[in-house]
Amino acid sequence: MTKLTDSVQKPYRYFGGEFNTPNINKPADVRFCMCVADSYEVGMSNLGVRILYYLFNSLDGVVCERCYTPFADYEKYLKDNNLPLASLETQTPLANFDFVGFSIQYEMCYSNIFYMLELAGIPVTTAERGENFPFIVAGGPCSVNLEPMYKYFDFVFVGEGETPWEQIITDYKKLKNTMSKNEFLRHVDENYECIYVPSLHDAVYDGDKVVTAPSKKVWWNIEENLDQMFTPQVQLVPNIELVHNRAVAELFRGCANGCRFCQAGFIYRPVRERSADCAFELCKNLLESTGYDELSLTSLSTSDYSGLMPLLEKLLPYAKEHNVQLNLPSLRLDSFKGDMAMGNRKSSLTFAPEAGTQRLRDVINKNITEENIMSALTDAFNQGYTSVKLYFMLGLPTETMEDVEGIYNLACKIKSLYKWIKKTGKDLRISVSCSTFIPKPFTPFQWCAFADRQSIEQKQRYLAENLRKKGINFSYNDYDGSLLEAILARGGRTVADALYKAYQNGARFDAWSDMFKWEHYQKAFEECGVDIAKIVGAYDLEETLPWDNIDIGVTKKFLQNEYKKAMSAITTPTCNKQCNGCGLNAKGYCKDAHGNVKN
Amino acid sequence: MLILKFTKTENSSLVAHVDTLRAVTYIFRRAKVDVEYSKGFNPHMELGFSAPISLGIESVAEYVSAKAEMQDDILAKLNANCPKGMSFVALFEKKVNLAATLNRAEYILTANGIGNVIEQILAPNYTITYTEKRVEVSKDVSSRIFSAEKIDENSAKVVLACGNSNLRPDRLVLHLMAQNNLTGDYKILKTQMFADDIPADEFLSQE
Repeated sequence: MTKLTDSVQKPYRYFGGEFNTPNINKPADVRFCMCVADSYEVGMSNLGVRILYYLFNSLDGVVCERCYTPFADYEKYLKDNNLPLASLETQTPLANFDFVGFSIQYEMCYSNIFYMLELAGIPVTTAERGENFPFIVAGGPCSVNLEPMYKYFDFVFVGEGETPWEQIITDYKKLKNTMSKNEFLRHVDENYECIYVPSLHDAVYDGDKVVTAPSKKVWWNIEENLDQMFTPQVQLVPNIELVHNRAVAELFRGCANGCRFCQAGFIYRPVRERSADCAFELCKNLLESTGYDELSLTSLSTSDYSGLMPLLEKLLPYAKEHNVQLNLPSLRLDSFKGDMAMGNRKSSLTFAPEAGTQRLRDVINKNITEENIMSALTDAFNQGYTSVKLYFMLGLPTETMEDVEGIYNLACKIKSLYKWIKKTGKDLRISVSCSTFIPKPFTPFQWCAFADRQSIEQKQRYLAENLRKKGINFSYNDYDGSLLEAILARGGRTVADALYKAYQNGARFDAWSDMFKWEHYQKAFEECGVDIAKIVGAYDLEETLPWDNIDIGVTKKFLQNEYKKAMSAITTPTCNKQCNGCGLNAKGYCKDAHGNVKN
Repeated sequence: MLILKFTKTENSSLVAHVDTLRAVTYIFRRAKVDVEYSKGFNPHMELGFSAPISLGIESVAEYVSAKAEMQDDILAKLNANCPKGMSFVALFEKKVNLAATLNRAEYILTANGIGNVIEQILAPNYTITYTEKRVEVSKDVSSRIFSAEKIDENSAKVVLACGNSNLRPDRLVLHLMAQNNLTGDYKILKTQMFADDIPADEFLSQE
C-alpha cells in the first residue's frame, strides 16, 4: 500500500473502514453500489445516501457499498495498475454489482457520472450496456428533470426513497433469475409510479423545444410519516475530515414558506415534522453512536419547526453535559431569536434576505421585511455576535438596478446598526455573497429567463466597487458556472449528447470552481448544435416543458398563478397560516397544519 | 494519567496524524470513557500522542495519554468502539510526555532485496536524499540510526530516532531502494518504541 500513499493524496477516501460500517460480509444475492458523483468529503455528508445505505444494508440478503468520484491522482494510480473503479468497502469493481445508483443532489455533477462509469469500464449509455452490466440508476432531487441524462440511466427513481426501495429490491431478488434486464425494466416501469425508464418513453422535440413530453406520468414519491419512516440512528464516522464532521439530525421535510425561487420548497411539499420526542431520541442516538462533539439540526427552515423549543429544552442541557456544539442552520430572519443560539459560541451568523428591496422580496415571496431583519440582528448583536454573512441573488425576475442598490444599502444599514449598538470597539465583520438566480423546474419561476451575462456582470461590478469601499467583503459566482447549471436544470433530451462530449473534452468536478471550465461545454454545445439561448430563455406559460411528465403533487395551475402574482409583486402567505391550494391538500396530504399524515 | 497503547493498521494506516487525533477522541466519546476537557475558548479533550508516523506506515505501537480515571474494563470498552485497523492493546498509568520521551522506534521494512543491502545504512556519515516541498534535500542521518539487521532477503529490522530528532523510515527505504535499483512496492511496520534504550512498555510500567 505504500506506493499508494506516496502518489495519492488522502488515500483513505478510496478505502473506507469507517466506524458504524454495517456488516457487508453477510451472504447477499443483491449487491448495490451507492455512488455520489463528487469527492468522498462532499458525498459522505449527503443525508439521502446515508439513509438509503443503512436501509439497504438492513435488508436480508442485500449488501450496499459506496463509491465516490476519485481525483486525478487516484485515476492515474488506477490506470497505472490496471484497476477498475471499485467500491470502498470490499474493493469490488462497480461492474460486478447488480445496481449502481447515483444520488444526484445537484446538476453540476453530471460529468463526474461519465467519469466514474468509464473508470469502472462500464459503457455510459443504456443502449451500449444492453443486457450486460449492472442497472445504472439515479435518484435525488435532480430526478425532477433528468431528461438531459435520459440516455445514460436505465431507470430513475423520482422522489423520496425510504419506502418504495425495499419493495423494488425484493422484486429484483424474486425476479432476477427469470427475467432479463429489459424485462425487469418493463416490470418496474409498469409497477411503480415513482419509477421512470426513459428508454421506454419517447419524447418529441422541435429543435431544443419539447413538443411532446414522455408518455408516462411519474409520481414524485412522498414519505408520509417521519416518525415511522426508516431513519438510521447511526452515522458513518470517517477517519478523515469531511466538509462537515458532525452528527446530522433531520427535523422535518418540506417548507411552508413558498419562496418562489426555491425548488426544494416545492418538490419536498408538504411539511412533515418529526415529533420533538423522536427528534431528541434521534439526536441522542446519533451522538452516542458516533462520538461526534458537534450536532447539526437540519431542515429547509429550522426555526419554523413547531417542536424547536421543546426539543431545545432537552437538547441544550444534554449538549452542555456532553461537550457537544449545536448548529442550527437554515434560520429565517423573521423567526430568529437570540436565545436559540444560547450556550453556543457566538461567532458568525448567516442570513439570507435574497433580495435588496421589499418590492423584489415580495416578487420572490421571501416574506421578510427590513424591520424583521433589523430586529433579528439587534437581538443577535446584543447577544454578542460579531460577524454576519448575508446571501443574496442577482438576476431575479423583474430585478432592476434599484434592487441591486438595495443590497448595498441594506449592508450599510446593518453596519451602522452594529456601530450604534456597540458604540465602541471593532467594526462588524460583514460579508455579502451574491449567487446568480437559476430558474428551476417546479418553481413558479420555471418559465423565467436566466439573466444575460452583461447585466449580471454589470451588477457584480457595481457591488464589488461600492461594498469594498465600505469595507464589506463581497463574493459572487462566476457567470459561466451558473449558465451551465441553468442549462442542466431546464434542458431536455437535446443536450444529452453534448454533456458526454463535454466530459470527453475534459469536464470534471464542474461544481468545483477551480476545476470548472466553460470551454469544454461551449465547444460541445456548438458541435452538437444546442441552442443555449432557447434553453435558458423565457418560456411561454402554456408551452410544454421537458419535465411535464413528472408530478410532484403541486399543480401546474398553482405554479402559474404564483408566477402571475410574482409579476405583480403580490405575496402568498406561509402554509402555516392558510392553505394556498397548491394541490397536495386535494390529494389527501396536509390535513393538519403539522404532521400532515395522509388521510 | 492513563497511557494507552494502540495499533494503527490496515485502513487506519491511511489516516494522517491530525485525523488520528480526532478519531481517538471519537472512540473515547463513544466508549463513554470520560476524559478531562481543556478549559479554553475551544474546549477539547486533553490527549497527548506519541510522535506522528507517516501515512501508509502500519504500527502496532502507538501511544496516547489521557487525563482519565483508571477503569478495569477500559480496553474492552474502547475496543468495542474502534474503526477498522485500530485497537487498544495495553494500559499503563504514568505521568509522562509521550512525544518527548519515546524517542526511538523499531520498524520492519519489507521490499524486494532490501535485506541484502540494509547494512549500508550503518556506514559512517550515511547520507540520504529526498524531496521536501519540491526541493531536493541531502542529509547525514547516521546519528539517527541506532541499529539495522537483515531478517531475510526481502526484509530488515531497524531502530531509528523519532520525535524531535526524527528519521522517517519511508524516506530511508526510498533512498535505499533508489541507490540499489530495487523495484516494486514496499511496506513498513512499526513494531515497538523506546525511551532511549528502554522498551516503551517496560518504561511505562516503571513507577
